[in-house]
Amino acid sequence: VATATNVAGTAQQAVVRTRRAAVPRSVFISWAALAFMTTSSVASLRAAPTMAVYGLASVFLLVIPAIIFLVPTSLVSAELASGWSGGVYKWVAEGISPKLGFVAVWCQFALTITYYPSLLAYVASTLAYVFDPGLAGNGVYTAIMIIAVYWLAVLLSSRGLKAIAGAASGGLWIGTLIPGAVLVILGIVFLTQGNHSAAPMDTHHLLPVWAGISSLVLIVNNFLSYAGMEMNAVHVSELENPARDFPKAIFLAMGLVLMIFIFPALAISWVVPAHALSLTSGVMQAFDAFFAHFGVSFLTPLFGVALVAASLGGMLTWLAGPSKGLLLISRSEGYLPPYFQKLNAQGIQQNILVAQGVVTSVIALLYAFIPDVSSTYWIFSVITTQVYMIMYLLMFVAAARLRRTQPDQARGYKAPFLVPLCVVGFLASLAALIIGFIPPSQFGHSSFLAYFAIVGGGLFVLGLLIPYLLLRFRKPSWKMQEVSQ
Amino acid sequence: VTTSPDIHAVSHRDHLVTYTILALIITAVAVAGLLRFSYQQRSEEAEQKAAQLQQLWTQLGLTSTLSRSSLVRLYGTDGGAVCDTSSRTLSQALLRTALANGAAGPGQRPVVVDRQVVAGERAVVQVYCPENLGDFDEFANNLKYSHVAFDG
Repeated sequence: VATATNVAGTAQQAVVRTRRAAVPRSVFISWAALAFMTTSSVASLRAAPTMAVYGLASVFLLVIPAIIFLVPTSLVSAELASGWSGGVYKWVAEGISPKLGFVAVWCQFALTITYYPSLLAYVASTLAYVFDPGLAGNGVYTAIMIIAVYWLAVLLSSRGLKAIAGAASGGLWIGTLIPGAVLVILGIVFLTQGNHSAAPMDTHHLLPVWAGISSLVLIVNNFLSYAGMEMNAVHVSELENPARDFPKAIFLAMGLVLMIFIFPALAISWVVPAHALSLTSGVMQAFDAFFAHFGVSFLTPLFGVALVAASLGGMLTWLAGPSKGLLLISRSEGYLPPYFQKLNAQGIQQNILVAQGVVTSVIALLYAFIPDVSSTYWIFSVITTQVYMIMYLLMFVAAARLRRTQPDQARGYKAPFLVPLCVVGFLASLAALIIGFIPPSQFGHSSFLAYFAIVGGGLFVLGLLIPYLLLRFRKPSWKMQEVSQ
Repeated sequence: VTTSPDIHAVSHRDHLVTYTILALIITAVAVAGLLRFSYQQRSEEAEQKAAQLQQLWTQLGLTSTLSRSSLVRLYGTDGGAVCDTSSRTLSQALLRTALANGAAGPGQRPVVVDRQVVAGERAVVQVYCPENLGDFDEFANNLKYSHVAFDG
């Protein structure tokens, strides 16, 4: 009787596991939609005023990192995605080991933990600029905006990848491509009217001013402007022909990202002098100054809403990407409890998003109401970008190894000079990791050792200790065999 | 288990509904923004303050291509958003985040900035809301600077 009961119990558990592991049938998205998702996750006009400060040298500051970091990241991820579905966890799992595959996708996921509160605080301040600038300093308003918008985004994400792709593409057009084109056209009009550019545009200003280590910090940190190009590769199986379509998507995204970063920043630097780009009230002040020159201030609130739409579109892609990678490896290797592996009817990892939402809500409250948290929040972005660099280091090693260990694996796209590309990308990522330990302006004149300890400690806890603990305490029974519906 | 073909048709309709709702929300917020945005009005006081700001920028060696009428549209008589936010902790937290590299996504990371990034704004505070100058200076003096954008 006992044996019969055990058999029945085991069979019931298997049924439960199979039900949990059920995956709804894929809905295909086009390669152009994936390109727009990739572009909106990396680029927007948010950074244009920041780069406009450097005038013509902003081209150098964006092109050199593109050659050293954007090109290797994009080409390498294009080859990997055209050969293996599943994104970075799969590449690193196949190329190095499943455990390091989990570490890689965890590092990608960890980047987003502190990103949402800071992105949504920016969204709140941008909307405040339009409706009532004083609200930007109001804790209650900021907390409500961060929490409400995050959960609305989760609700939208739960409707499936096609909804996310549509919203992200729409956000990119409404909030980045069209407004970017408006800025560039107005900038050209400004110059053709015979006005002198606010920032010198001669050959003497092609290179940034050299200020030693500070300039190095600026140049190397700009590698991170292109962070996330590989993130949407996790959706490669949602393309009809992944091997052919993903490389097309990544090449289109590369071109769009470069255009979005370079030309609007240049246009702003032609019209608005660097010292008038007041950033306290958010980047909107720069756009306001730009439109004030042309007497078209009515464009300022429209731009504000457009920038918010672009930010939310980009946020949706980050909600859908790393969490899916975490889900996929957790299902195949049993790295997360079954509760977090559950999918909704649209195939979205809703429980991971809800758990992340709880963390985001707590962080939002701390950010909005505790001045010490908000004033030191920037340091979390340093720590999480450091953690992200671990993912890139693993990705480049995995790519080079896979060329050697699995040369016969069918790849829809083979990156030219893959190994040298991996070496350049690896060294660029390592440089960004090392330069992350140099204190920025925000740390003032405090001790370098204190900064090193904070960033190093954060990197250790978030990038190594937490994934180690998750691996250490996983249970074999958490592993799930997927059943496609 | 196979999925019924109807599911995709319904799903497509659902997506159209979702996009329509999103488009309506964005349009409504944009229209509300157009109506609620605080457009600065021309006045003698606004002209005087704009002239004062231009003079102060020149004294500081900050050459400006912005015309006086542009400054009137931007700052009016009360300094606009700069004075609304320059002394607030949360706004200063946003500035700390914005003093960063060229990333627009989660790759945003702080860098060492040029003093001119805050010098122009300090002048605006000085002219339009001098009562905030103490808070602004306390914030700005705690930052470390380097000549990364302009020759020293």
